[in-house]
Amino acid sequence: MKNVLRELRKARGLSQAELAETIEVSRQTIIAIEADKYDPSLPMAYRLAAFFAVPVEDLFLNPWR
Amino acid sequence: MSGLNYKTKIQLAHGLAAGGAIVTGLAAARIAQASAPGENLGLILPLLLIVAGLGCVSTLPWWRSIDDVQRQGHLVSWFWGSMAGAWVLIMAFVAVFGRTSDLARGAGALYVAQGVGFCCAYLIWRWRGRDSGE
Repeated sequence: MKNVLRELRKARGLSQAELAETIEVSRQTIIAIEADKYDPSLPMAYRLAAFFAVPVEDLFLNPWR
Repeated sequence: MSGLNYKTKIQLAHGLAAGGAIVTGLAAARIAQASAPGENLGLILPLLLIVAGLGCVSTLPWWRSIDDVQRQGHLVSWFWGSMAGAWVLIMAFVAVFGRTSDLARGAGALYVAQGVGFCCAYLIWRWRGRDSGE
């Protein structure tokens, strides 16, 4: 699923490792999501959205809309 | 473990799981050596199953500490990787030692046991996900 995680992360000045440590996931997971290789679960999507204080659909772009 | 950072928690959980596997193997070997094969089955088998169960429990903190993308990776790898590995080994045993050899039969029995375990786990998964349809 296309997303703007990389852009939001960079806007916060965070490395992938720092973001991973902060929200308690592996760095590999952040890399895979940013590269659109894996879709996270809804809880993780909401967790990421809450961290960046944006609605989920601003982070993960809804392809059916 | 709440005061620890995520990386340290993961490393501790990894260590516990690896240590649990080693201790399980050593304990199982010691228990199995306590009597001749097939003897005291009523005592040895439950003890071995308890040790194996404790070994599984020691991996729980690791499983709970990894995120869902990592879990998906492990589940996919376990299903396809273990199936492929088992088939390669079974076929190799059959080709090298013969269809009725102890090794081929043992590997086949292990594969059947994995299949039964898979079916049980899948049925539990289906049961837990049930709800009244509308």
